[in-house]
Amino acid sequence: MKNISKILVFMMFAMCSIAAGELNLYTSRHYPVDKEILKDFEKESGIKVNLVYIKKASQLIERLKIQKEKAGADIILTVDVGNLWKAASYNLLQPLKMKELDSAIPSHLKDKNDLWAAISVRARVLAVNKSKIDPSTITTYEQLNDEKYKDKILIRSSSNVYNQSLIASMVANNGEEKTSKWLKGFVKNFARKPQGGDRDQLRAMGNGQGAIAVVNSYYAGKMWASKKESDIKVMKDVELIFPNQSGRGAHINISGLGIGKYAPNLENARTFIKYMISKKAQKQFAEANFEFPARKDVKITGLMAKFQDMKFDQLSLTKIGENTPKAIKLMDLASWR
Amino acid sequence: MKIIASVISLILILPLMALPSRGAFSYNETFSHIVNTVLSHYVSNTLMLLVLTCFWASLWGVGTAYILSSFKIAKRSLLKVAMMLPFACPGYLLGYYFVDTFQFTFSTRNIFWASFVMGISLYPYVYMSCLAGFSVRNIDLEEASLTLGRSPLYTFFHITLKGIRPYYAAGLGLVCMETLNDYGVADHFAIDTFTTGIYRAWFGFYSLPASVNLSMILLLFTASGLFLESWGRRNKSFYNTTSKMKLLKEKEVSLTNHSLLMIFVLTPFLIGFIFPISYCIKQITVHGGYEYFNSEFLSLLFNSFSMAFIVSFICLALALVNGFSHSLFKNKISRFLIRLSALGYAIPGSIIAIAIIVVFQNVDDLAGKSLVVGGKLLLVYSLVCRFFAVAYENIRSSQEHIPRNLMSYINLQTGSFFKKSKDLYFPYAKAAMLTSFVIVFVDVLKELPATMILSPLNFQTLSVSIYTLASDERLVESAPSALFILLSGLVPLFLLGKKLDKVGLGEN
Repeated sequence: MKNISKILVFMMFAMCSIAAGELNLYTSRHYPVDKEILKDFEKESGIKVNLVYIKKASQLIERLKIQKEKAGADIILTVDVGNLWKAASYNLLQPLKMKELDSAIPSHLKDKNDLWAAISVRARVLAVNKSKIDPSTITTYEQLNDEKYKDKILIRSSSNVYNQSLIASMVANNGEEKTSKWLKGFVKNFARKPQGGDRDQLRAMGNGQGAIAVVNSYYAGKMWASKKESDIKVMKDVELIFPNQSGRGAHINISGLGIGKYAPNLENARTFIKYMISKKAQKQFAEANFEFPARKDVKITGLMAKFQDMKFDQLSLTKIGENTPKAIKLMDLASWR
Repeated sequence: MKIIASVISLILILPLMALPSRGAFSYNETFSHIVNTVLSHYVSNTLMLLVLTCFWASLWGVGTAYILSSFKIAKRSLLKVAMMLPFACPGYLLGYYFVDTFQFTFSTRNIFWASFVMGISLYPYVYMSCLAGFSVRNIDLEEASLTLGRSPLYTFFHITLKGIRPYYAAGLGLVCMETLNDYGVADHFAIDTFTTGIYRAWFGFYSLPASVNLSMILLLFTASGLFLESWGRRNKSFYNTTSKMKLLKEKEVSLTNHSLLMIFVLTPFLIGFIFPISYCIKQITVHGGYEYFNSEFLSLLFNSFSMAFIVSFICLALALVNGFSHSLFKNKISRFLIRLSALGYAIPGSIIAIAIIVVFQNVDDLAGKSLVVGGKLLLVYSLVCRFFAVAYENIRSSQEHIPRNLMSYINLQTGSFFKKSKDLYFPYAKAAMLTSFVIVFVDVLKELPATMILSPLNFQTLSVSIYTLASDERLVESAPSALFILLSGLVPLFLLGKKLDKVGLGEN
């Protein structure tokens, strides 16, 4: 018993020591490339990175909301703009105030109040089985409620944040009423009960179900790069469509970061952001995960390079965050599980 | 001592009391939207999943416990231990492996298979407590029933099963709470349940109040279930009146029946243990998962095991104090508090975690400095709140078998709480103590939501690492951690297995 209490006391003290030369990073990203970049950053800057990793960004934000300054969060790094919007609306972030950001990152990928910025971009695209449907016949998201696509559409649950953001962007672009009507036809076209992740939609298509899978661009990249026999087979007939090219552009989402409102190591936080938007890190960060860099002047190589110059929806990402709760209600009403 | 027990209980229900401050029972627009649109789905799916999971868990749990305690089966003592091993396999992990293996063979993502997977990973709760129950049951009654011409089946359902009701109820209660609490399996099998709804309200609608409201409904539901069950057995006694317990004699069975029983017993073991283990080993050897046995893995291992050890030790100690106090003292308030303290298990781990942060934030604010928030101590506390019930229910059910005359005799004696406990309760609680310790230990190893939300700086555990990797289809990377969680059950379970086996042979 004595030993245990000793251990507990030790653990407590270990937690309280947050010295200089450190950076407390709260992240919901867990890709191998993150680890590599952090290691490089530590080596280059001499700043030690302390990590709190919580997969569900909302949990991470909820915790920061309650802990406030006691969390000691310098950087909050997460995927999906909805989460950044939420962190901003809970007053967990402080203005970035970095000239470097203004020149490097396009304005539609930054918060209008300067609270967060994107570091990489992904698009929500249509993967089409070209042996079943001529890809050139589909050009917009709006078309997908057409009766001729009955039993053709594969998409995951409405609980998924990428779908919520997609619908939120439609609410912002087309209005609530139009989106609600569109959703009803769209849901009727589902090939099966929404289930699994994005890659599962591609696999179901490879297995003969449906013909149009709604997926994030990097998942298609991952599947193309997969060495698994079954994945190669699945991706053989798949073509990616970036919708609405002659209109607003394909819906995008981001990985992004902000500086914690009570950041104890403010300068280190800025050093970290500078590093993350450096050309080298941008390329490394995007390429490894089949995403697109937030910087326009960084060109990626590899499978996704040909998609980098597609037209992307420049709707202020803030609007997506605002419209998400509304979007979910509409999805519920349309019985999209 | 009763004050100490009450204080312990209060500390354990503190998070529950903090919930209303996060908006429970308040009107909320999101909540009314949920009630109007999806709540009925949540309720019907949850009930369906619950019933089916209980069916599977009872079938494997009671069935195997009865067979192994009553029939002469080859390698019986080994099997008794082996049957517990699926317990170490987290439901979501089995779910990932199951879907990954069979998704192209048949339609896997539905309630039926979800309950099957949950039943397989949860039946050991029922098995462990029933095995203890069957081993100390009164064989005279069964013999009388058979002699008087009742069929073996009638005897089994009306005499044997009724006799172990407290044990069965304790085990099944845990299964119910685990099922109600599950997020990983339901999510992976595409079933909208109460708990997935709680998470959705929180993460999708950004409405913690709505999700707390849902949690409170879930909590009330569970609480009423628990109280109904203990009310149902209020006037029944399950202790033996004879002081000399008859040794259980295992029945001989014919070769055909032996093979049938063997197949029945081995089925859950094969699916719940051998299948995931071999899947893991394949990932590690064939697909290159061995690369991930690195220093990071070692720190995960250390974190998980030290956390599990500390939490199960504390849970056991508190459960003993509260369990004994509940029997010794007739004070209504402290008894009520003690009963309440076991409810933490019914609330989703993530809600407990948030509630605990709230409580301690207030404490910190009062103290004017940061004492505990963000530390490992907080994680220990939340895990204790969550798993105390497991230890407590086990200790409690062991007490129901203490002969009442012996209990009244000792209670009449003068003497300290410790002396009475030592003389009366302790000898009866020994097996239950071991069970409690092991179950909590493995439960902590598997625990996900609370560990994730409260994770301190630079602190990760095996289960969190498995979940985050596996849910992103990085099954190869997660395989080393998964293998160790699966194997982790072995050490304490073998320890426990030996003891249980002795109980089974009537050596107590």
